[in-house]
Amino acid sequence: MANNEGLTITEDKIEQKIKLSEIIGKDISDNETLVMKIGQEIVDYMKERIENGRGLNDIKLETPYSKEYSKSIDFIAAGKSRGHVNMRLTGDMVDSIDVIDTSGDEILIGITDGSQTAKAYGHQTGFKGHPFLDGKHKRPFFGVSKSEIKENIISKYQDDINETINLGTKTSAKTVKKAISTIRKFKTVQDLFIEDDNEL
Amino acid sequence: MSFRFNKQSIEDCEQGVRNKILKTAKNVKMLEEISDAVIKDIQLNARRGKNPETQERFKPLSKKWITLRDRLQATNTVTDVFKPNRSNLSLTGQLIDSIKSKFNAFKITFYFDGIHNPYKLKNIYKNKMSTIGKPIKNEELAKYVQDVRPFFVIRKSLLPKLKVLVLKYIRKNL
Repeated sequence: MANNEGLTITEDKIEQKIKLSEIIGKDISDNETLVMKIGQEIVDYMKERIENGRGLNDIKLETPYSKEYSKSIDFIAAGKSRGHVNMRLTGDMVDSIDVIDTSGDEILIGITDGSQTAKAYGHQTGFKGHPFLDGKHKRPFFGVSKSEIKENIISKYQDDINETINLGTKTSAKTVKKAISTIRKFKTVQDLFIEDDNEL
Repeated sequence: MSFRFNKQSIEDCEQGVRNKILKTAKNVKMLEEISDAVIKDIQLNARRGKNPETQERFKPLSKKWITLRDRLQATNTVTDVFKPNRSNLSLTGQLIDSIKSKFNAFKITFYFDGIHNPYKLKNIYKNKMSTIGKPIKNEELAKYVQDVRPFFVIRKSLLPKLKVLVLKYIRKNL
């Protein structure tokens, strides 16, 4: 299901497409590195907002966690508290939110760990379609509204945006995109870091 | 245990791409975030009593040790996840809390800091305090524990999180 915030929320896909010209009112697609930086800023903003217990449209997420959950070993081991709903136990779900792609002035963000999408769908929709949980404990943590982006992110980049528009700044993110694609293809932790017993 | 950024993984990339990735790989802030994520994950899974990779529960405790642990909780500051019969390396938490990291360009080293102090035990007949075990370096203790209850594991499923961290720093340094 997509909506006017560009959200796609299914059991297999948790994504949001953001078109910056709809928020800024001008086209900055020639400045690819700026678009990429703004994309990263949106992801960072969303993660910080979630950590503060707030979801889409900066609305407070349903609190508290259930008594039953709060008594589980997982809950206690993670040092969680009932009143601080931050969608995080191992962090696998929230920490996998990333910029998936940028194209022109469009930014696609989403959950990049396929093993986490069904879980995220459950939280986002209140387990929509579930035989007995349907609609219960809905916590729409994922997504950023146009107004949130305008108020919290665009203002930080206003000078860069003005420079892009006024001076016609053009940058290419081709090399960076190739670097990102290379990292994305890594299949094991060893592709990133290998054991090395030589002294530091 | 030390880990170095695997430069061989990017051997076939064009020069510009390699440079971008290598510049990120030696970013100390990024290495710090990655090492924090790894340490927190190892600690969480230990406290849950599970092998991080397989998610299998650690080997159960012996009945004798469970009985003793039941007495030890009266005279030691036990962790919030302690139960006498729970096998989760978290009686006082000294070992798990001792995991630290240090890093420089391209490399992270995880180590166990400090000494594991003996547990205090009240001798109920003599009404005296004594200790169980001797002080031992956490580094040494970790080797014994790892053999029986493998807790120091960087699980494969942590990879998406680690990749996102690297990508964040690639984008931040545009």
